[in-house]
Amino acid sequence: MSHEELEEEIRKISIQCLISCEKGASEKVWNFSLKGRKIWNVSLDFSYDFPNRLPFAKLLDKDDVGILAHVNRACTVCVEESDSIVINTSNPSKVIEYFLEEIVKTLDHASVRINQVELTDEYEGYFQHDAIGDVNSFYVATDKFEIITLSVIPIRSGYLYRQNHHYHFPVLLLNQRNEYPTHFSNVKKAISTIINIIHLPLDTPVLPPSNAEKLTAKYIYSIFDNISPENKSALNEFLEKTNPKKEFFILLSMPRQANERTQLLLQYIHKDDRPHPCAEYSDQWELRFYTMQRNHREYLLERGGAKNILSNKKVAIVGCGSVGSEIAFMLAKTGIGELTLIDNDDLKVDNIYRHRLGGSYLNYELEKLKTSTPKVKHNSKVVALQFALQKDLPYVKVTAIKKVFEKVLNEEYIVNSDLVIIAVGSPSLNLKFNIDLKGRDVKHAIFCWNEAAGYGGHSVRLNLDTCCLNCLYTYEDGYSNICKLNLLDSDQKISKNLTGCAGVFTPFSYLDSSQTAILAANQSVQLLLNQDLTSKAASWKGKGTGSLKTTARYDAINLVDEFAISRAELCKVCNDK
Amino acid sequence: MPNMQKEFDTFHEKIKLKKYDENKDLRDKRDLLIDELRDALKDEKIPGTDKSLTFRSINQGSYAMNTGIRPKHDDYDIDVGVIFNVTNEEYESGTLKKLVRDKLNKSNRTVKYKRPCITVEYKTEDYHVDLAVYSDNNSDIHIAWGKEFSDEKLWYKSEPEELTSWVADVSTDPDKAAQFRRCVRFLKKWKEKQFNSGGNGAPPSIGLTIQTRKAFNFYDKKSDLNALITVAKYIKDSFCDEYDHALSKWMKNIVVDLPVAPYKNVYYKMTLIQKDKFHEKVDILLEALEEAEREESAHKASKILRNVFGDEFPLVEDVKEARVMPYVTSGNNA
Ligand SMILES: [Zn+2]
Repeated sequence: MSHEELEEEIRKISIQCLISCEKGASEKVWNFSLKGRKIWNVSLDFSYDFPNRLPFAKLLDKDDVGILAHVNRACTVCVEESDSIVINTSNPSKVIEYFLEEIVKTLDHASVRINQVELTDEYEGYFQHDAIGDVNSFYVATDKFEIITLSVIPIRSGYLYRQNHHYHFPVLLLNQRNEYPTHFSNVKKAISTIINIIHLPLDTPVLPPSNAEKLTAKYIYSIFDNISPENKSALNEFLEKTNPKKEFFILLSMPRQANERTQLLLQYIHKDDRPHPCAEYSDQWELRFYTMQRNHREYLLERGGAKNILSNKKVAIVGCGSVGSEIAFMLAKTGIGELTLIDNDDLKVDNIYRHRLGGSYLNYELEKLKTSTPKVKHNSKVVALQFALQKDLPYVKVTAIKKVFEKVLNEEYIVNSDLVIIAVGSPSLNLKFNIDLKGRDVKHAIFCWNEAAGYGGHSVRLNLDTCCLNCLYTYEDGYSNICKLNLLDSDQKISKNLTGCAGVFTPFSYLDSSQTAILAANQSVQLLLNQDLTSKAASWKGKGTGSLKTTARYDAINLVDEFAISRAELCKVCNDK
Repeated sequence: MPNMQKEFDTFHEKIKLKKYDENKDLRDKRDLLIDELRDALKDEKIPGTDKSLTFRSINQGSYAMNTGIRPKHDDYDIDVGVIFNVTNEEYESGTLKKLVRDKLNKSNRTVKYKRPCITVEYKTEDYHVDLAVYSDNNSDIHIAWGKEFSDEKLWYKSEPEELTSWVADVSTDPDKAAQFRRCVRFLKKWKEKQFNSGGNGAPPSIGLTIQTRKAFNFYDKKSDLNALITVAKYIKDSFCDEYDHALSKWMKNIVVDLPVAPYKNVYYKMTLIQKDKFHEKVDILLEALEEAEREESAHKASKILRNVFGDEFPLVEDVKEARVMPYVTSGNNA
């Protein structure tokens, strides 16, 4: 929108709270005087694609910055907290009117003193633009004074260096015991020079300095006192042992209304040795600070939409092929704490177009053996998956068991799991496991598999106390080899082989496996969150890529179908128990 | 102005602690300790006589007054008084209090000798018992007052049962009495949220209870919010100015006497700085309540009230006429 058009829209504005308006610092900036609990002077900057985007609002009354919630140190008023705005662009003046009214409401709300707690809650955000950068942290700040560790790298260039300020850049914050998820990402590389710093937890939240002022050593010194008596004596003990230095780091924290504490990493630098900034005030310090990139479990899971309450759940996955590997990733991303993966196969290039893992986990290198013929050593599917999952996600514990399925059913990791998922694909193996699991007092199991050639897939969640997989093969006149879920007629020529008998495979694709995995993962989460503990069969239906004959059920169901399973009267497995 | 009464009712249901009679568990725990004390004292004689030392127990504090709130960290507080059949001459207050302490001191608990009571804390349980020791003194009840190792140890005239009934007698109208108890609970939640977690510098609950009781001449049956505004105004107006020479500035002070013996200031423990802070917080409370009352949107009002009382106060969803809005937030994402 041109600035002439904009001016025309602004001239149309007629709302009660508007006292006056005039052109501001540039053609696309307008200043408004608004009547609320007091008179608010704000400027709106329309230069960012208005009306497709809302204008930027700034509060012009500096006295109020540092006192009002939802106004940061750059004076920006945060009116809409969400990115997901839909704007009716056909009437821009109405958008401006509504926006101005929302600003008044926001500022009015912020000026009620009890709501200042919303400002102390967003203390980090208030200063965000002034921070030198973000520091990764695995440290969980509580209300306890502690000595913690900070990984740093020395800075050897720049103006301050030339002024003889020898200082460091902070990289990673860890707790006293240097704990972090060692397999995760390339965190290891962030650990080089380690120094000890203090975590100083303020007892109550404090307001930023008034008049939109910056963080200064003086302001910080004035709030140091706000600590509990226990923390104060711990701090004093530390200060007695601390010699003057050219550089100090302090992790400052204070409570917020919700669990997470506000945290800023303060850095004091000077060209000469000085006493610790908590021991003695000095205006000689150059003060810089960093905001936190939190890496601890509770924060990351919540931030990613995962569920913290799943973090104490254990799931065993038997079969880590196309479907099982996908389930493993999906479940890990829901926040499940512990996965046990069982499969005896190696990952080969044949698999890569339908397995969750690809070429990064293949091996083409010859193993150097002295005695026998050299061999290319393959990675096992479970070990590769364990590596991939733990590198991708910091807080999932993965155990890899490279064994044939039959050998593991008695093992503790199966019996003690909250849920056993069977994704082996073979119906006869499924039926055998069904009998075994029922005999081992495993209560909750999911069996899942694809139909051939993109016709669909199934996930069957069972409460084995009440029914079993065999019930789906048992009819009014007894057992049959045909599963009630089938979407394809039995005994069709489905298997393909490209290279002779040893290369027999069933055609299905990665997308098929993903859809089946989604059904199984959803059934798992519902169970583990105690939302649904019942036995249910879920199926998805696809168009299919061949000319295979489909069952009556295929025609009858929707694209996704789910029904409750009840015990078949003549089920041999259920009746034997 | 939105009617927030539904939200106040929901909030109250969440925070209220049931009376002994409604809460068997805590009642049993209280009885357990009382029975134990009775048993431990069964061979005890009043010194210089062959009269057995006996006592009767009374409920006191917020349970007795039916104004308790659920504790934040599941540390339930049981207040009980034990009135011994002794005169003030028969026992020194400290001697009798020490006897009670020693009889209760066992390994599964910590027993503390405090100024107004003996406190029994359990290592593995989610409650503690505050036990006040009284002499019946021929129906002229005195409390054993003072810390163990301080010189200020004495029998202090006290009327614990009178205090409980003075609070209970706020009104013969059950609706009015119920609104009074709700308001006391709301103020306790306000205190919990607005003062340090350690409780340092916070006004004692009995002070808030007494002031609410005194303010309850007028009330608004339909609106707890209006009733609270009346109470907050009353508390704010009960402060007076006092010049602090050390700080060279005017401060706010408050004196509220117990309505029964010993008629002392219920805020006696607070320093002038703490009382001045208390005033500021009451002022902020009043502003917030009045603003919530004035606020057109129930959503905004509930946000203010959550900042007053904490997030147990229900958040009212923001209802906007989405179809006619110039812009709306959708929640869509990718
Ligand atoms: Zn069965």
